[in-house]
Amino acid sequence: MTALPAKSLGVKRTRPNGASLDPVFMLVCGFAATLLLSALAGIVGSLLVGGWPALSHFKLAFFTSSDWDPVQDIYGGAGPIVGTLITAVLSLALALPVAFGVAVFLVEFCPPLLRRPIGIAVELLAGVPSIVYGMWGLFIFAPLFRDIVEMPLITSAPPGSLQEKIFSGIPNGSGILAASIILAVMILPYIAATLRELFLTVPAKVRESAYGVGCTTMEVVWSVTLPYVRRSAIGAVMLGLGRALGETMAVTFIIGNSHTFPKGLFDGGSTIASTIANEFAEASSDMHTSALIALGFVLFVITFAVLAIARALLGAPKHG
Amino acid sequence: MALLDRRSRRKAANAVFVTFCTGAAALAIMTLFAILFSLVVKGVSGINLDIFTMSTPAPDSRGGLANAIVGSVMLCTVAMVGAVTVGVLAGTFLAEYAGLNRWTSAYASIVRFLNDVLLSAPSILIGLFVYYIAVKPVHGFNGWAGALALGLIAAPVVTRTTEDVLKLQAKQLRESGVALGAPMWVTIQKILWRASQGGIITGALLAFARISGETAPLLFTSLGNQFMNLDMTKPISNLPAVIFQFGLSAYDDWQRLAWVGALLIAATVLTINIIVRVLSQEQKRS
Amino acid sequence: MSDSKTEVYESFVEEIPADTIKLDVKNLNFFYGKNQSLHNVSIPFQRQSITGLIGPSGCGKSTLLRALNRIYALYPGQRAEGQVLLDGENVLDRGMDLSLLRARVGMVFQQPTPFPMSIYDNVAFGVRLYEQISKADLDQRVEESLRRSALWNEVKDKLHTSGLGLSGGQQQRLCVARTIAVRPEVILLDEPASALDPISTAKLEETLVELKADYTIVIVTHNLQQAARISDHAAFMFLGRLIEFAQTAKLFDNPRATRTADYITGRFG
Repeated sequence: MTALPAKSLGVKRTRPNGASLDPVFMLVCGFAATLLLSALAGIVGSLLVGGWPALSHFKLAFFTSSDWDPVQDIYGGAGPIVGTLITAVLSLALALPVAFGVAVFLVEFCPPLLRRPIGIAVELLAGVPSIVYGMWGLFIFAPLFRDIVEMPLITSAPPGSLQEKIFSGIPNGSGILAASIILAVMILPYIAATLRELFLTVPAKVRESAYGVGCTTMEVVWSVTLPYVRRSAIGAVMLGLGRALGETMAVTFIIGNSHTFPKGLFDGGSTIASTIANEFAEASSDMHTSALIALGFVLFVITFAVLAIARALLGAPKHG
Repeated sequence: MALLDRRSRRKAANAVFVTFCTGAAALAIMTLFAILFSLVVKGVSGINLDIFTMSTPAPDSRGGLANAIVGSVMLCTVAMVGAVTVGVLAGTFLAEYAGLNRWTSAYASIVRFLNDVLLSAPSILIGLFVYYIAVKPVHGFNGWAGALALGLIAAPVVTRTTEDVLKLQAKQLRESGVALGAPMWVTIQKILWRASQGGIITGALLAFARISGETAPLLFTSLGNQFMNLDMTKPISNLPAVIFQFGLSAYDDWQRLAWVGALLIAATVLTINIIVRVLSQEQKRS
Repeated sequence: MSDSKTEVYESFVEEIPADTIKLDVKNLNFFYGKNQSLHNVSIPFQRQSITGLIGPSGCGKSTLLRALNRIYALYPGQRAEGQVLLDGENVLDRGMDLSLLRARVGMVFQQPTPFPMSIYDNVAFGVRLYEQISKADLDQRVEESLRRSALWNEVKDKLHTSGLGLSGGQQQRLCVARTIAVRPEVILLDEPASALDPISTAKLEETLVELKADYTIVIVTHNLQQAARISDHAAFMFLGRLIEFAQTAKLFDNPRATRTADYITGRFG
């Protein structure tokens, strides 16, 4: 060991290389953050500016009329707006119970051997691109749906009955309900995976002590697990709803693309996203383009509201 | 007696509940496997060498998906380069510089919120925005616009993961860089980024998986191109747009190509997701 | 028995010869936002010796240490008032170049924090910041630093493997090597052995005792035996105040303040 005299240790130093670049680097990082911020501002701004001619021209009628007529250049967006809301809510209503069942199954009584593979499969499926669901919906699901569900329900309906009203439409396998089912299949893995993760955050001790006092599985889930994760679970469901609202491809393939107000569950309809996807590139006039963008703005406002609620719920402490 | 009744009622209710959950799981898993099954069956039968060597055909003629595959790879690559650059820097700002003072922390919480909004904004709206800034002004659909749209979808994902993994690093790791006299930016680049490398790569891969299947924003940005094109200033073909166009067409051979395209995309996405899982497993172990 | 209030404020500080003082803290006050966590602390640190800071948790010993290289400046809202004189120069001066200060006053933390790079690069990291030296000189510096931190024999065959692969005790000695490679004048250690097993702790202590020939070492520890074993001077702190500073033997055998006596006999804390 070479023990140096204490004095020679006092090396003469200059400032470390690049010490003056600190503020530069910080500015670069801040700039990148600002880019994201301005992208969002740009989205809102361009939707508002682009949609303004249509909104100011048709005023309230844009929201109340379902008269969408590119030939006469008249645009009422009620059809797609209502279609968006109906399909999103219907798909959530279909997906949620099943996703809940899947999550409970995985956490509470799945055989341990299957728990990991099924959990992984569900998570992987949440990542499958929506266009794949759209293809499947159009080619595999629609014909089956037509033959097994639509035809029997329509032909068996007594004239003038409620059944006839609800299920009116052309039995071609596409339409509001078919689109909702495909959307439900698409958001199912997403909601199931999130709920499962939430359920797993409940401390084992809490659940075990409930089992310890003789609770059945159902009672544990209802009175221990669910209350424990209530707020976050609602938040996760809202995120699923947000996905369903903005989803384009899975819906466009199968909703039937009609701009009128859907009269029944089997009737063709449209959503905001599907309308834009179908018509934007070939819009016939400036007003047409503007009307489509105005629809986009409405969609943004709806999804933003849903997201804000979801975030407020997810961000809050777990015990609500 | 009443107690026994109560107990058997509870037991019956629980049996119904268990049956429901198991049934739900079975239904969901069967549906999802049905989708994968038909995808594989329909897709694999259409795969041949032409897919990778020939461009998209006119109806009723020979062709493949080569131009769409190349186009998709180009668009995604350009998008990811931009998204990782912006995302890592922005994530670094949120994690490392937000606490600097009251102003930066207020600004950071705004950016954080808007980043979340961007993260879950409908992708078709991002397409509309890009149409306005990168298609309309130059009077034509082009590859850059497509890449920009995809980049805007990927960047928030990268930003968020970067912020999350940087925040997971021990406070003392940060301090030990600074305690050696290293400037903050050197500490961040040489120590913190490197320590967070695995997580950042995971985030980038997930973002890549997400954009590789994105269709909606490409419909009016990059559009599509029947021919092989490597010029980013012109419309570039891409798998999702081809699937959309061919899938909705009335021609059998176009539909067959659409299935092959869907299979390719799904396989890519699944592979990436599996890689991510393996990577993060290994990280946990080391 | 004196009034308990005055007892808290009274501090017994043993004088040490002025020309042996390397680092002189005078009337240091420290604030976390509005909370004051150090009150008028004055304490001298002798060169080429080890000073141990002891006291119950929350007494301000780590805060004092973190003021000496101004690492607290990373966090807005934390500030220090008073003087910390390093060879007569006030470290707390506004114009102080923090990078250069930290090159002179190195620090080792409670948890071992090897950088995510090879053992060699860990040690070379700080050197490369300040000096443009040849590969051979750098090799030599790395070896010398690893030898002095008693790690060389264990790692000389795997210098280019990751520093994260070492055991906890080796990692902590790597952090010491990394710190002395920069050739600082003062080394600060914040409970460096609290995450280590007894054998690793013994090795680390041995290393520190050897290093004191060249450095001024300040170590925060909650382990009284450790302070008694390795330090030349010891300071007992309580509630943000310096209660007693003396030669270690004196402080442990014959404390002047009742609180010190209570603490070292285990009556509280």
